[in-house]
Amino acid sequence: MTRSLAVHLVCALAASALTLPADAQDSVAAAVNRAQQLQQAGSWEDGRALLTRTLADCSQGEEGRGCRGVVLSALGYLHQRQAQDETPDEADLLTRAADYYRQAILQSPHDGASLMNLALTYQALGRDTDLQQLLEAALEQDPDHAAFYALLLGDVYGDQSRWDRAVQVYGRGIAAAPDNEALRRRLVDAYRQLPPDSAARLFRLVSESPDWEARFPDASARAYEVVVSMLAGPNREIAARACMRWIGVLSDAQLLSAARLDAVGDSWLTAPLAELKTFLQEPKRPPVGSFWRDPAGREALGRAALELGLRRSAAADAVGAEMYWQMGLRIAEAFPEAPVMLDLAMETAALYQRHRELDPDGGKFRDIEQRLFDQKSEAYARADKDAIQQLHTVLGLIYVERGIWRSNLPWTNATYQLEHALSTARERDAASGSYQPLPQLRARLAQTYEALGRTSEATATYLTAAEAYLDADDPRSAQRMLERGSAVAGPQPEQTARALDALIRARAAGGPAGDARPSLDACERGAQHATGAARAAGLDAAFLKRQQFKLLADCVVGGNAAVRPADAARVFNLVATEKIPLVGVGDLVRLQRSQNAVNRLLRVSNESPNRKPDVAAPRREGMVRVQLSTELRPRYIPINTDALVGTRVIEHLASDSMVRAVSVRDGKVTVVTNEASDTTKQRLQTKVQTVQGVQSTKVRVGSNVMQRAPAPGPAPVPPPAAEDVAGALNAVVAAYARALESRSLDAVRKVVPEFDAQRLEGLFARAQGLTARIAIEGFSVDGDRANARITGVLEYRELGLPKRQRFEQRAVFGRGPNGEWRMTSVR
Amino acid sequence: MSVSNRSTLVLTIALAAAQWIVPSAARAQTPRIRVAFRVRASEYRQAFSGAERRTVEDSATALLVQALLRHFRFVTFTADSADATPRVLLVTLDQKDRGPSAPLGEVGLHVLLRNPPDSTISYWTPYRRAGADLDREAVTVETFLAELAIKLDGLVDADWDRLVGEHLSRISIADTADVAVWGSPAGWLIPYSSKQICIDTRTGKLLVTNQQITDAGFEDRDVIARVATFHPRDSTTVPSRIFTRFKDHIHAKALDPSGLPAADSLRVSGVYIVEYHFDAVHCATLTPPNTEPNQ
Repeated sequence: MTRSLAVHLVCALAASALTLPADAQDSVAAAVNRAQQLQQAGSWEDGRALLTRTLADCSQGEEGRGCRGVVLSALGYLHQRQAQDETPDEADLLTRAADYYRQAILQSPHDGASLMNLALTYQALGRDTDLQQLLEAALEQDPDHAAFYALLLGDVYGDQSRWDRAVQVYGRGIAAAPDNEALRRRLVDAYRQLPPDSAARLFRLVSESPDWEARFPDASARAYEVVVSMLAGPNREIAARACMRWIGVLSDAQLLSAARLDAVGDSWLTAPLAELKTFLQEPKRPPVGSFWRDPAGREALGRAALELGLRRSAAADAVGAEMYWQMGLRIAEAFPEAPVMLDLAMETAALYQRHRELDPDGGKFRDIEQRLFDQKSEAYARADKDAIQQLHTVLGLIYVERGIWRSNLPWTNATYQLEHALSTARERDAASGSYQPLPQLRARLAQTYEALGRTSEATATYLTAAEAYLDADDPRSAQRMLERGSAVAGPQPEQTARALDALIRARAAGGPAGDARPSLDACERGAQHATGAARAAGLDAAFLKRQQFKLLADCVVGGNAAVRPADAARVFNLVATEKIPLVGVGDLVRLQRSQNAVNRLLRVSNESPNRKPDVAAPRREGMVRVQLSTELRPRYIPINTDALVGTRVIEHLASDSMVRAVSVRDGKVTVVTNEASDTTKQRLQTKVQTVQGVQSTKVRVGSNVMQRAPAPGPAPVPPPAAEDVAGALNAVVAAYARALESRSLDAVRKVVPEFDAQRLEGLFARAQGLTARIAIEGFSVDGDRANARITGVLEYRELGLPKRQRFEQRAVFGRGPNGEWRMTSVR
Repeated sequence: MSVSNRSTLVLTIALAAAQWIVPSAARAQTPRIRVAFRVRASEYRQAFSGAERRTVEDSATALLVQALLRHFRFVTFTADSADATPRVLLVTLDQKDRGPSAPLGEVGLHVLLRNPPDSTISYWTPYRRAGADLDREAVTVETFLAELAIKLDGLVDADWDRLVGEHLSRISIADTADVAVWGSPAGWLIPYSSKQICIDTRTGKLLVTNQQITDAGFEDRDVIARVATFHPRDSTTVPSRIFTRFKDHIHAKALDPSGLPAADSLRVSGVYIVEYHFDAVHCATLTPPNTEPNQ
């Protein structure tokens, strides 16, 4: 048999199988999958024929709409893929792809795959008018991929030199996908084309938002470059401020270079920037011009000195590093002291600790100490807690290394510094809801107390160090701490120590050793039992919750035994819904293992696993917080909404062994089973319908979906470097918009307790078909409170006439009990 | 411009271009770089046995290659240690201060690019902050790789910019025999389309190093250029070999064209990408169709 004939036969068998009695939708899914396999093998015609036959089999009328949408979209995809491979026919194939996608969208107007692929097709064909119309509509029809559409649409407006529209649409994209750096870059570039006075707006946008500089230094530096270049004439005061921030951001991001400084060619800045360029090469020649003398200028220079010293240090040039940092200290310490002083002092002190040859008699170190403590209250008042914690940590560890347990001054010793490092960590944790275990700091503090003969404090601190080591997944060190504590306390271990000992033993046992894995119930009982004594001994409830999670997860997904997806779903849901903070990379691995197991059953539509992360933003419901021991701030892993719903469903259906797959799209769940009875289908449908977040349920008998490519599911999206406050606030604002659209005061009240009920009541009474588009224009965060300026457009029909109403409001946010952001009032 | 002036210009351009050998139409290959990851920080070395360290280094190399391939297309990366390319990107986990061992210091990724005859070294990005705990007993191969993966996923444009600025911008992306200098003012036709190397044409910048033929011999002439597309409105003004070879390819245009010498006085000695962002739009992956009908 020839290969071609074989392919045809396989295809014919596959196609005939589709017409067999099974479920029609199963046939559709199978056909689409089979067509993709044929595409991958280069059998375009066979794939096309299969899909065309499947299309003909779709029911007529409304009930066949979904089937037609899927198959037409698959036909579009087939032609588009073929166009990529066969360039001579590219235009023709793309035109046909566009036709299919358009038809698919008529059947399924919200289908993200068809909308996004059609946009790329129009773009490749150069059909700009069609592209623009499509993107404008897609932003409304498929808000889950708003970032993708906004990026393309902004570019279209840019090509038409409609830069104000481009700015608007990029801004909208950023609101939908705050992590998208390409959109921020585009936004900045678009401002470059606007009239010069608009640069002041860009300056405010970037400098007043905590996100820009901290998380997107490249885009922020570009923005400041634009501001400096554009405002040099009309508003030199803002330009000067932007210049200082530009230098600071470039320094912090290790991007400071002569080439980068050359990007700004304005004459009034030539002299100051020339001074700075000299400083890049020569640490003894810092800028001295009047431009740099105000506090912002000294801060910028201090940050530059810090970075230049760090560069020398990384290049093993300790002398060069010292020169830059000493110069930076001199610049920063003049009144009023620049906040960068703390970082400079910390680095310099650590340098003298590492390179004793630079400070043989310890005089330079003492000088840094002195200068630091003389002015520490001011530094404290201005600097953030992260820096203060790090400063105390570094100094504390230096004092430990030097064996300085006590001192004449109360603060120049290990005890004071370590205590303050830990108390600052506690304050930060209390403020942000994070948790830093810091076992080694605790161990060293305990050691310090012991050296000072402070027995009871030493014992207690050894016990907290043992707990912290358990949080850090190191039971052996925990055991050592316990033994040290017991040795200090005496031969009679107290109840806490005994309880901890039992817990440490349970943790040390880890996951199941062999091929057999206990049942979920047995795992849960084991975790309960292991923490029981500790609970009775009065150990911290949050600590015990974390330990219980680790014990359960190790039992369910640890070791080499096969993992049951439904049990893994329990572990995942525990994290996602009960907001257990993950501590250390061990917890991250537990979460990933549970996700991998869940993904054997779960499929979540509409996300391409190969897509670059910043193109399309997934639907998100929550964030999982992970505190890595190597970082000061927690990371946040966004969880795809549909993945979360699917995982809940899988856990809920744990006892139903006939479930072969679960797929979720926009909250709509399809359960695939290997049993066809109507009773079973009905029972499963009823069961799934009770799961939180499920919009609708369908149960069908299916082929082995599990053998397909792994679900994009709840695999963690690359997390942001810091808490995604903007993302969280945007999610709340989006909920507010949906509540407005519901035209129910109760729904609004659930999102925000304080609002102008009278005005909304009037609006709701007269507005039909209300849609709300709301975006955050700017926000500020102060601890657990945030203020935002939100703007929006309401569109509705009143007495049959279309109405459009713009508004601007001030929203106040606060943290809920689990650290999540909530809107508390809107004015 | 009068008709006669325009004709003169066209003739000048055509003559200038005609003096150059038009490169072959074969698809150009981007430079290849072998990637290797090494653990040098003593605390991390002590955390692993010899065999574990080899596993960590091999797996970390693979993670790095994946991350690099996701972000750059103007060079290709391989983890294959047998690859014969002379270019090696060595990423080392080491303490930031390369001086004496300091358990309290920051640990991060250092990068060394061997690009014969040159080598460049720099500190790329932090891995563990100063003073942070490293609990050796809690570090396993699995947790280390999970943490590295999350670090690499969390890198932002500034991190990639540094890698370009300090290392990848030192690699000439095209065989100079494959580059044509053409037009007035002179522009450079590069043997890739912007889509091939996924460069964002709005922000991308090239450095073209040239030798200018002068009466006294040769003079170095470096030009920073922006990225445009070679798509002449009137193809008849362009020699057909140039048009055929470079249509829709990158046309590097000097940011500051004033004082640029004529195309025929320039010999290209290297083309470097000095600013690069991945074009997330033109290089977007197609989204596979859904298989479940809308309900």
